[in-house]
Amino acid sequence: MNVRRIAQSEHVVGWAFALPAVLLVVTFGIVPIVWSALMSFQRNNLLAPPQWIGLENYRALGRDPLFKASMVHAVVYTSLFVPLSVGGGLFAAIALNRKVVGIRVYRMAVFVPVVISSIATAIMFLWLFDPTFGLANWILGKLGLGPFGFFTSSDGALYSIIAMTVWGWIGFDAIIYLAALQGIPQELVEAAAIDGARPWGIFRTITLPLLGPATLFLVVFSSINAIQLFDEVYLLTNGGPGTSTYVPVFYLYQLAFAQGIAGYAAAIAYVLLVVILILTAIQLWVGKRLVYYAS
Amino acid sequence: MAEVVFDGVTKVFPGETVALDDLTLEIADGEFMILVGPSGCGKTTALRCVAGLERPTRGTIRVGDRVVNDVTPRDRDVAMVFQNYALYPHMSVYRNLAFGLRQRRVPKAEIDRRVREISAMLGLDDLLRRRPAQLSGGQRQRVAMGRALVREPRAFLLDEPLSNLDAKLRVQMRAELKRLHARLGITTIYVTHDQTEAMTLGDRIAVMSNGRLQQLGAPQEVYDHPANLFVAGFIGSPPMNLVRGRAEGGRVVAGDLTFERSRIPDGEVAVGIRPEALSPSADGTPSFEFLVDVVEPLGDEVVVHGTTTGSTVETGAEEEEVPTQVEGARAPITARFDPGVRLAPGERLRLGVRPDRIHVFDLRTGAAIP
Repeated sequence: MNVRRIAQSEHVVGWAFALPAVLLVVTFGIVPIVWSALMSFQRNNLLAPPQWIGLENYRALGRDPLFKASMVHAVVYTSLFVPLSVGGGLFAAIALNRKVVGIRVYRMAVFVPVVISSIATAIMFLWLFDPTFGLANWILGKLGLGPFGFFTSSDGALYSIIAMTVWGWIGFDAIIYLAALQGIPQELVEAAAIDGARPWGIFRTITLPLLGPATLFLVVFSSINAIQLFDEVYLLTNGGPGTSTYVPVFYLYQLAFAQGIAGYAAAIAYVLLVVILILTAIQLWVGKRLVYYAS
Repeated sequence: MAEVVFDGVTKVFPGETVALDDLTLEIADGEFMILVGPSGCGKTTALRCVAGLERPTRGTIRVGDRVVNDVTPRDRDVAMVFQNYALYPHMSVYRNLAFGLRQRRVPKAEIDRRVREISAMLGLDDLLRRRPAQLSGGQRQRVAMGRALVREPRAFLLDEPLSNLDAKLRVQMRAELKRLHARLGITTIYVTHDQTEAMTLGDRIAVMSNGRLQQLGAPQEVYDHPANLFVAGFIGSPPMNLVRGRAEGGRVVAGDLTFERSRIPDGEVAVGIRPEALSPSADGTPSFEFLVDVVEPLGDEVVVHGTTTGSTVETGAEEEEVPTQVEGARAPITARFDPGVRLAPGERLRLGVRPDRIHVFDLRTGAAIP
């Protein structure tokens, strides 16, 4: 009886410790997830009483040219952002993985963009890419190129956003790769050198395969990140010029909070969730076959 | 195959750490050379200099007729087995064995032939599809050997390759290594701090300390005639007993032991006696009193630890911080007897030793006095 009482009291104390975190997760995690799932089957403007319309929101998505355009933009963005940021991060990590004077300063310089807020980055890039007074056009002008509209050009705005976000994320990828590089035993590299491998051969046959787990993580993480692009679009182009930088999360934000079409926006959110789940599952499936885990 | 020559090789690491100090050593074509010494003596640095993983600060290294100081590891055509094997963890045993040949663009059929041949020789046939993590320590060791042998290198470098194996496997692999060398005859440089390996494997052993070569010779010769106090203290297990003494007018006195030695200069000396040179009965030979402390019956012999009058001598070869000065002015003594000898802790007796089995060293220089 006593043992049971103690067990029960430990149970209660345990829950008391966990409760604040549980409340946060339930309130800001589980409730919105369930609520938005219900909303996606409703006509809901967040003010009037919702109306149950079944799969109508999902059917309407198939007929929505702006949704299709935003999905195409997301695909373009993801397929450029992921390889450029992961590849750039790897390149930076290799450059930073050496013993030279001031290496800590270089490492910090590469990582700084990660900790700068999106707003500061956006303002900086607005200046850099200003069509008239920007540094980018000035340099390109010296090379006999441009001027380019960057964020004001419907052809170039999405790519300008890609350039900015790649710059902002390379530091993160570099730090992950740097840690992974330092985990590769030096003996393996030395053994390969004695075995006859040249530097490129060592990188291709030893270093790169052993960086597999880090690469897989970064590809999955960056892909999810890319599909959820919002801040930069909202701050820099507001979806424009025209709808040239509309991406799904920006579009659903517009629908839900500017136009009050919350049910339809919730359906977009759920389509996006499914897309992310499928993409991640494919990446993990491929990764399981290609990536070597030391454990 | 090729000879390997160190000619005045010095290696200084950043921070002025001298790892190798003017090392001159010639390893003949096909010879099995052991570099032996305590941790930090420079033996691994010497090996890494041959492999091309370290560049000598001064001096030259020659493999065959070529000075290799500025030659990349790839182009030296030597193979190395690392202490932790350094097997490529993401590759199968087959790919590990084939790696060096693939890097050298050997035709696929030839790679396959050589991998199969070496795996048959080392008993790896059934393991070719496994990854290193799926192998036992002994199997990994054999793969590492195979990876080095498959390339048919001019010299074979082994850096404490048996140190990660258990005692039983080590004995097996030692014999296997000896057989392999006899069969292939590749010039081999073998680094170890284990003197059993040093004594049993090598044609010659090079005893090193503080980056310097202390003695070079056949194992038995080094054991029987240590050139200095360091070698005397390092080679042999249990190590040589060393007691501080004094020579005067051809007579040496060390603690309770007195013996004659012709042509010995007067001065402070260290007297060294191997544990197996001691006898539990004096029989007219020089002798000293011995107080038994611990008796270790090992089946084929009895190792007896105790003390005698006098003080011991530090050689620099002591691997661990063991109290060498016991009971004030008494020196520790270890003796090896036949298993029939029955002694008990606390017993006192006189131990005898033939004069020709007593080593004498100059205490100031450490050099052996013949």
